[in-house]
Amino acid sequence: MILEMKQLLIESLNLEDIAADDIDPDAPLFREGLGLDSIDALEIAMALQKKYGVVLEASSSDTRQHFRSVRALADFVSTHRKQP
Amino acid sequence: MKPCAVIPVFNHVERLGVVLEALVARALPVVLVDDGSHVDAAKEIDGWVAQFAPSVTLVRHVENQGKGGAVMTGLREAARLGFTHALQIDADGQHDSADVPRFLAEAEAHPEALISGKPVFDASVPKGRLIGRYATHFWVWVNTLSFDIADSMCGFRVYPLGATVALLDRESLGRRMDFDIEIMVRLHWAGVEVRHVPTQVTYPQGGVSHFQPLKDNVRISLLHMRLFFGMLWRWPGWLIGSRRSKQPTHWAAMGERGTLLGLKALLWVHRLLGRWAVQALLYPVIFYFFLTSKTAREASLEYLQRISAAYPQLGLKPSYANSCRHFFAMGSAMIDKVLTMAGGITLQDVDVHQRHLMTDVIASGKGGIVLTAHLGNLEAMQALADQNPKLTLNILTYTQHAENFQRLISEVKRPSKVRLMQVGELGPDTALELSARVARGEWLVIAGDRVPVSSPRTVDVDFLGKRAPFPIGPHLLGGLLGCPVILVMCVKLNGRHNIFYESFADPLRWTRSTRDEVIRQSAQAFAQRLEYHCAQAPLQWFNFYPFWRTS
Repeated sequence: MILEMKQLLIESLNLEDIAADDIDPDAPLFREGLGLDSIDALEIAMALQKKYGVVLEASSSDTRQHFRSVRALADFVSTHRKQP
Repeated sequence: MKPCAVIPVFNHVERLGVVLEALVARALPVVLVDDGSHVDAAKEIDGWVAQFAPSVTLVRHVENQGKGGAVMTGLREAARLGFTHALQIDADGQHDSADVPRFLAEAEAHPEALISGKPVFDASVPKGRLIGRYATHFWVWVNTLSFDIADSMCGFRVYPLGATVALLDRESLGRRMDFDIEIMVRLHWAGVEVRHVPTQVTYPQGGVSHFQPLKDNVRISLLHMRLFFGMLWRWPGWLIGSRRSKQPTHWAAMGERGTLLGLKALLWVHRLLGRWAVQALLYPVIFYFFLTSKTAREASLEYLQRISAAYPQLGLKPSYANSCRHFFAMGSAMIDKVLTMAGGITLQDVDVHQRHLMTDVIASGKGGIVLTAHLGNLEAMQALADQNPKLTLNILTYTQHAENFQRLISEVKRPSKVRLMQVGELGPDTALELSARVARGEWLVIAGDRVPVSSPRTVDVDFLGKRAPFPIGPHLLGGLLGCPVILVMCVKLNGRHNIFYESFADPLRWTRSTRDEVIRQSAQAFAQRLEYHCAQAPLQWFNFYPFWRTS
């Protein structure tokens, strides 16, 4: 799931010069870590909802927690995804 | 129905006893509000309260708050005491208490309505005040765009307390002489019916009136401007929109009945008398706005300055006269807007340039984004939507009244496939919803030249020779949805509507490292095209707020 998450990040954000291995699953996504911003968060949320049917609400404070790191995001998706 | 009377009193106690006696004799409990009267008057008030106890409840303001403040206190107190209706009557005896039963009977028959006295003046009324009253009628008619309210200044009325206290809770109203008018207009907007009962009004020789001719007339004029713009904000968000959205929380709450009547009235005047009559009605209002609204006037002048410097060949001096013409152009566009909404515009009235750009995409079943600006009369596009059965337009606005307005349009004209959609912050939910619509072949219409208050995401780009903040939202959306973006500008040239189509992006693409630059370039490209179209119709760009205010 962590690898899947990394690939989703790379694809949805068009991170052309980053490979899955370059991403530390525990590093913060925003600012110092991957350096993502709120537009990236929007793109990721759209991709997640499209692919897994999970809903991240823009205003929810939990959302911040889910976006903490790749691992947090993977955990969130595996517990909330709609079973195919 | 459980009625009481509310009487504001400030110093003029000479006739208070007579008024109280008449009400108590009719078994009507009274909430008396002493609005900070001086010591002697206060003593006298205490005496009357003691005499009529327990029928009279006294509430006292330590400091004078003005008639509106006193009435508001009284209405709240009446609601707190469990009354359902409050009869407001002046303490100076100018209202005829013999009419009280007629007022109450009318309220009983129409418990949801506001019952207002329609004064029949006797010879005692001062002339100056009568003229002021007629001026006010005109304004109230304009503000409510209806003739429902025959007299808004009469302080003899019955309030339905439920709707009134709800209004007081969500609005801050003028506390002085402007109160009587404002609360009535706002109740009308909130959908409360106004019913009139004719009543004799006397200006008692011994009585003291607290109407100060100059100060109160100025106050009332300001109030009318406030109300007038309150009404404009409730029109489609295109013309005068999101800038004010901080202030009127009342959009969402306001009823649409008044506006619907107003639109119908306007159309009716247009049909009966023609466009000149509508202009005659509207232009004085706009001229007044031009005279009194400094911010808007200065914004207009700044725009004229910039466009005349950037396009000297236009010969458009940044003068007050041209600024005034700019304002009138807005009025004219407003009329077109209403006519368009009512279905009064067909393809015969419109010249379309490069229409195939959009029809080709539509024919392929794809959807996309129409990028536009606050230039001219975008509603002219509706003529195309009506004609093309495949086309569904979703107009994105930042204003909260979008949905109410939607219902309004569908009442005025046949249901159309033009929808207004209110979007605030562009979150994942909204983005996905929009994405789904485009996937179904629908189109999103979004203006690229106004920054929503709720989302400060902007980028500074050159516009008419100086950097100005433009929203990134439309460009971001183009990239996120990966759909074609077509620029559409609708301006009036030589009395005819012209619609210009241009391909803008198909689609916008970026990588993570180029994203911000791609969006900036897109916003810059938009500003350049906007500039070009502004130069074609320089008085039709309607953003009356300080536009070149970079971060």
